[in-house]
Amino acid sequence: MALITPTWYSLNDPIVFAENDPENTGVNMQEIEVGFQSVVDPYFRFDSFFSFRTEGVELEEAYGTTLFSIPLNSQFKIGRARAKFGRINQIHRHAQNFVTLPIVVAEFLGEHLNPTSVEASFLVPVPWYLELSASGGSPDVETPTFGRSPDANNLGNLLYIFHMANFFDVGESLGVSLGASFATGSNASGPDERSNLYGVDFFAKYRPLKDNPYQEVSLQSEFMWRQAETPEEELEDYGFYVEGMYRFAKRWNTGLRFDFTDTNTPITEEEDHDHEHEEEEEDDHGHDDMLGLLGRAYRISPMLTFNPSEFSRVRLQYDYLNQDYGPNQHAIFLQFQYAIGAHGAHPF
Amino acid sequence: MKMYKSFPGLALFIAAAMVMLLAGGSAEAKVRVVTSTPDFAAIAKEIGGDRVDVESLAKGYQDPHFVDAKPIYITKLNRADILVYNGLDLEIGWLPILVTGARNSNIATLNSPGNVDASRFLTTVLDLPTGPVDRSMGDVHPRGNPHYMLDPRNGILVAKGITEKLSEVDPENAGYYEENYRNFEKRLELKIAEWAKELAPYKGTKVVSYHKNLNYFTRWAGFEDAGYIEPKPGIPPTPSHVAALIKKMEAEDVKLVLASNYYPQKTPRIISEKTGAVFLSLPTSVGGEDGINTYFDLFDAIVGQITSALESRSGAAESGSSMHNG
Repeated sequence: MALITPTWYSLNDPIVFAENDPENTGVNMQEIEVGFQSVVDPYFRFDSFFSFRTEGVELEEAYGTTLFSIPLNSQFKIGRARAKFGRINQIHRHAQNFVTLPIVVAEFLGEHLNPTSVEASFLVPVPWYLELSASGGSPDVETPTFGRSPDANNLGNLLYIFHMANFFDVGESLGVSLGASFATGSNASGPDERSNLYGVDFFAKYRPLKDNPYQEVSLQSEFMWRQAETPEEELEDYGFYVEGMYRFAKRWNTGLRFDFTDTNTPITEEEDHDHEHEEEEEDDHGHDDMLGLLGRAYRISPMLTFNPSEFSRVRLQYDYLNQDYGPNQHAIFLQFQYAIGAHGAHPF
Repeated sequence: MKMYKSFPGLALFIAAAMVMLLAGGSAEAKVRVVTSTPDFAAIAKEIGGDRVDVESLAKGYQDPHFVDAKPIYITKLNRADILVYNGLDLEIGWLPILVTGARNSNIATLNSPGNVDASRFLTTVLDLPTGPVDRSMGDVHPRGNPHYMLDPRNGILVAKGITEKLSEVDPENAGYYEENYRNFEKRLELKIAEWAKELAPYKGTKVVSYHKNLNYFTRWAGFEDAGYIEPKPGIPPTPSHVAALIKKMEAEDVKLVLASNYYPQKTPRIISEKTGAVFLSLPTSVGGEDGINTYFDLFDAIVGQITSALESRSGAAESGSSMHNG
């Protein structure tokens, strides 16, 4: 019997027509994700996810989780993992509701914030679900907001992330989740330069099990505030997204997302834009992993998804992007997703 | 000095605040049993009586394949002494992630003392694929049909397994559990004989059902499965499949269409109207309808609804008129 069952997710062929981003059009293989997950022994389980892209392979996650009871209802996660910061950062790309990341997430967390760290989380004995978590580690995959400090001996320069997650049922059909996050660490723009990132997240799902078991409505939102020091100045940026989803039949859902980001300290394009990095991975928003925002931007994205079965998905999305530092953009995406291997878990 | 440079102090403060928030657990005498579906909860209550606290995660009127993995379930599993679940991959989309989050070595792994996969108490598993399987056949369960609680004889096997587990976890009350089990077994055996007698006149009745989840019931009742409304497990009905099914039902004179009450009712209703077969939307789990609070209630309801529908249909056929249910 195979103890390790690989799971494959592939996000394929988003067809993009972007007005002023001609490099990012056509048919792309967005990502193939391969997961190996298994119980190790009576004490640990191990989960790993490799992300294959045209630009290369990323070890997205590889961590052990404690399975035994530890005082204070605690659990440790050791290794590289998507950090418990907000909501969407903990959701793999194939399980997200839209083809593109919200601008605020792409700008502040990058593709994802997945430091290699030790994370402790505690289930607090209250009548609802309350989990507190704290982690300390290094962002060895650089993100716009956090980077490895050259002075790694200074423990204060590591990346520390704190998160509080609450969930409660409101009646039989409605579940509500509320969270708050704080991350602080070096941003690698200088030896002692730090970033602080604050976040709040909200999620509510209404599923009338008795009347319409295959219909559901959900609302998800995150707000983030960033303070970052660079050798020249202190930056202050913020943004949020709100997305509403409506599953109107067992295999169909549709959604609408509104994104907004703004800054009190707009930077200019030349400042950070190093042309050496041109080859590097670009985020969904179209520019490099740089610290600071150019100005205000908002985006509106309607989406329609059809799931032929639990294991395949076709998604159509339109993005309208308005930015006060550049021309507006329109994009249409057609995304195909396939999952093979073991039946994966559905995150709430 | 910028104000947010004083970082280590802040981190320590947050860490300390977190530790202070964490109160210790409380000691309770009762054995805490959490089950994935209400059928197991009903049986655990029969055996455990007032010595156990029992709670089911899924509701009886809910499709057990598609339960939301709500974080609140983690809180419930965290405190469990015993977790009883169906197994055979029925809960694969939602239970494992909750069990990992529960931080509870009573139930964390297959080998944990309170981790009870009830399918291992069975003597027979139906619909075990004999040839190769892949998902072009739909969401087939490679380990066999998981809806075994709809054969009431399996209720006895599961009750026995739960009794042994309860006695292991709470040896002081082993005698009490054993006595409750004997009592339950005796009552269920009597009821099984009674239900079988009620169903006996309809042996060989051809049945079309929505999903394969009624196979254990139809096999036990002596019905003949004539087809399914889903073309493949988990794939919603297509017009061409429905048309072919209607033809087949007319050719084979199928009298009965069954679906769990959580499945879409529109297509079965149309098929019943087109063919003159009776359509019954059945509760298929304890709690599936108001008033179904025990495993006995469940089969009373299912057997009662089927026999009265078949009885009135044959009565109607004799008097020359056709009868449509609903």
